[in-house]
Amino acid sequence: MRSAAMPYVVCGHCRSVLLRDGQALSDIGKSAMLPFDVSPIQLGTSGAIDGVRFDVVGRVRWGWEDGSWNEWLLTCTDGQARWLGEAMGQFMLLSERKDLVSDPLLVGFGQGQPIRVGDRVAEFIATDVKQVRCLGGEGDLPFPTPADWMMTSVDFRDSRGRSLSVQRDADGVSAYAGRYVRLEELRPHNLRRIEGWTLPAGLR
Amino acid sequence: MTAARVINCPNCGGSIALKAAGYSISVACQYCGSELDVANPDVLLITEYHRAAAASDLPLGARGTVKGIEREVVGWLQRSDGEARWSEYLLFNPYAGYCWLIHADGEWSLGTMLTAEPVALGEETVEHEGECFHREYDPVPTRTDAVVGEFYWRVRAGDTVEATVYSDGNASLSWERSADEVNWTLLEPLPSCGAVPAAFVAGQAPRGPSGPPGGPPQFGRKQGSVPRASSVPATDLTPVARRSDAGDLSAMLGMAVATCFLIALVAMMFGAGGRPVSQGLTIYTGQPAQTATLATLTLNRPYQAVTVTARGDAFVNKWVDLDYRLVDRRTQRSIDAYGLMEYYAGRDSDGPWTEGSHQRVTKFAAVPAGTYDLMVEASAQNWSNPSVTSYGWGSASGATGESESVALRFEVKPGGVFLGNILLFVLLTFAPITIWIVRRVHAAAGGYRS
Amino acid sequence: MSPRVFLFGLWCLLLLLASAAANYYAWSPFADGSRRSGATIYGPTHK
Repeated sequence: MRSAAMPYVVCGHCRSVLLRDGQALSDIGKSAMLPFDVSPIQLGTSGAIDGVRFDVVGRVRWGWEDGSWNEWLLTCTDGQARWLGEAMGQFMLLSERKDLVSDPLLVGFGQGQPIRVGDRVAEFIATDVKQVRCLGGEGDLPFPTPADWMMTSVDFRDSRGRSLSVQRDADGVSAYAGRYVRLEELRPHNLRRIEGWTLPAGLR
Repeated sequence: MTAARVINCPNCGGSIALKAAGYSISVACQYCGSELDVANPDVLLITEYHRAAAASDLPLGARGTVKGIEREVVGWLQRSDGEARWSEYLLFNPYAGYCWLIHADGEWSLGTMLTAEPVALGEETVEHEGECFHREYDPVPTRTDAVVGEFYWRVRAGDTVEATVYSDGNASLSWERSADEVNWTLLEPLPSCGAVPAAFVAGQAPRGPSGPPGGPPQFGRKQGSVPRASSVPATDLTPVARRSDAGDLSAMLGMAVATCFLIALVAMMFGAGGRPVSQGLTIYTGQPAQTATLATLTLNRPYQAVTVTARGDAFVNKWVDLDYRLVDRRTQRSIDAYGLMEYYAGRDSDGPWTEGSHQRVTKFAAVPAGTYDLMVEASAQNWSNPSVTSYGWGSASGATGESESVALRFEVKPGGVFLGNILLFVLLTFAPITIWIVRRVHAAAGGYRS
Repeated sequence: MSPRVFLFGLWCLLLLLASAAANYYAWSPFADGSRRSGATIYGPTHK
């Protein structure tokens, strides 16, 4: 139990998803077995960025038609949760942008209207719309990760390389803004040891 | 922890260890070439092939150090765009992600995916991190011809994208657009020649379909208890500043122009001679050659040229043979030279024409020091052409057979500049540049467009 | 400086030296050599 603040936890042994309610834990189902990957991040990796320290407490793996990616949940010393997206060997640090959810486009999106490539939210332009499916999770999470969990995910970009990720599921719309970070920018500790590879000098 | 994800090719049964498990979504089997979808736990066969994997310079599994980080070759693409064909190697390190080695036209480059899109500064210019890059050619269809290894996107032989290159003279940006996305890659030149293949050593021998099962799957190419660090060459490939062709070309043109200037200057300096000596001579057409001594020259330099300028009066339709003899008073050896002065005029359907000149410059080369007498044997002849006389041109000319006078004036001058020499050296100076440009244009047909 | 520019510099230097030598010996393949040969053709050639 790394983060008592998160309501859900996936048992690392039996893959059971447990709901934390006060001191009580209730088993609400099974999470899918996460497929093997070679991510350098693991539960327990810590680091610092933007003046705050963070710990990796959970992971959700998402899949779509043409691939899959990890989102690592970071609990930070400023009390905010951030996500570290990991796809194609690149990392993106995302934090929630509740202010953008009131944008007319996203309000309409929440009511079931589609977003098309080229639509704008603030300085961001939609570049990709796809259906994503939760492949499973591990650790402490703010939501359960049922295997049938489907979402519509829209990627936005701005001209400075920042991105915005908007998701819609049965519960509504959420928006996360992010930027690309290099692994060494996170000043990580306790990275996963991957057999056959040595940690690069900058990460030791 | 567990090691790599190992799959079996549904076509040939070959065992394939996925080096970038979790990232790779498609695999081209290194044994039979079949294209597999590994995005899901079930491996799907996309295209079945039965061919040996094409040979590439860097085998799958080879590791080398690029920019201080060890990386393994996990994929290889052969691509072409109608004019050129080249290889792209996908390199992976779980801590540093992906990068590319591009081998084109004998040169290697390091490719890094851009996370921020360059800013367009007009139709053919983009800015990336303060540098301006100019488009080298209009986007052309670029096809993936062959593919081996594992990739983080769906790759198929036959995939076609629109692609072009923007260059800032050293590095360049590759732009590729497929049906649903645009990709920018920064290309930095790497040391040329054999540095890149030498920096990568072959990895674990692949376990083919007929090979031994190979025990438990292992990530990378760990072999027994051999510490792997010892088998990785210490060479670290880092991008080099490669002066662009344009930069080299301008440097070479500058050097060539300076060389030509110096060559001309040296020729002028050596060509400067003493004071000219002038002498007149009148000869008559149809008469035997007349001989005269034009000048006595004292030449002091070990070797020099001697220039004789003969000028005739305003004769028409005559030629003058000038046989010069430069006789060394001491040895009586002579250096001979010949000059022909001719001038013709007439009229035909196009109107009047003239040909020739009333001046003839004759140059002696390599005259050793000494005292010389310059003698000339001059004779003049009328050119008798019936068509000319029938036009009534020059009724007093050769048709009558009368002897006419031609007044000649000679100017003899030690020294002289051979313009032909200068021209020859200028041509030789520019020859390598010309050959280089021609070869580069030629190579563009068979090499990489960069 | 790239190797090819260096090589080209050497080439230019070589030519400069060769031209200096040619000038010193007042040598030229374009000198008006020897006496008239019998094969000279006279008359206009423009037609």
